[in-house]
Amino acid sequence: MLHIHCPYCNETLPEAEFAHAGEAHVARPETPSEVSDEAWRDFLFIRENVRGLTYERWRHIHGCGRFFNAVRHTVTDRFLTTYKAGEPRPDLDKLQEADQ
Amino acid sequence: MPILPDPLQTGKLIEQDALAIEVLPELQSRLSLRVAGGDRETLAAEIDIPLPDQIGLQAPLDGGAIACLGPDEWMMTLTRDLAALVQTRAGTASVPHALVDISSRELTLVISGSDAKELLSVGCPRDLRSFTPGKACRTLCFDVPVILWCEAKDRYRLDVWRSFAPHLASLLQQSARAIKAEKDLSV
Ligand SMILES: [Zn+2]
Repeated sequence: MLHIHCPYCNETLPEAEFAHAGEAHVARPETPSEVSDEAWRDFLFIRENVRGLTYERWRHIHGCGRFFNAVRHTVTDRFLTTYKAGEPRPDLDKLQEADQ
Repeated sequence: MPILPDPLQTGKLIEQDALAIEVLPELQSRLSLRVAGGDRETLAAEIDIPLPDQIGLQAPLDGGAIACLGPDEWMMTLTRDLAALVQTRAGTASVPHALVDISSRELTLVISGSDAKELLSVGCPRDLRSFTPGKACRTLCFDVPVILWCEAKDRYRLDVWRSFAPHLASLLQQSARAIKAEKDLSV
């Protein structure tokens, strides 16, 4: 089983307590009525679906209940870091350097 | 024919050498408290209840127990009198918060004895070695969401939603019998 670090509990806990919650840093347009249909479609449905490192949201649903963000490798499942919702996305190059 | 666990009765479900499982009578009130982290200290002073600021910790309290479950969430089990008092005090609190009586939502199971940790570890994915007295958290037990409290060494409390309780209790009983059978064999 994977172990995931919850930035709110500040503990590394079993995956079973967590739920995946889609791509991170997808910002909802401030005024949806002024956005073109294409831009709104992109916001709702278009995701990066990368093969490699990705920013994604997780929820510690069977724990503290919080949503947070993570950087995970989609092939190896390795978590490079997790951080609180609202914090800026960490730099991937620096993370990879630190991981080696 | 569908196999349904019997409804739970209050009292001991299992009592064997080093292990007991008990369903507690519902003598206390359960209160769920939500308040923003910045208002925690103010509210704690106004309702005169210690609110631990670290997720996973309990605070010592006469007449009940309180645990911090999330950055803005606390669970309390209090005597009926104390619960009423806390609700009255919260009515005039100066900070926004939500205090909800959820007494009927859950049942409490107590697992005790020197095999208690072994029994829990069958169903709970957490590392229980570091789950020492004074800790409490929301987690899973046999995939059922529970609030797990370590009340003392070899004494754990499980708050489980009423509708899940017979299912969880039957799995705990099965595991307890398996632990006993294994011990009997190895003697
Ligand atoms: Zn958490």
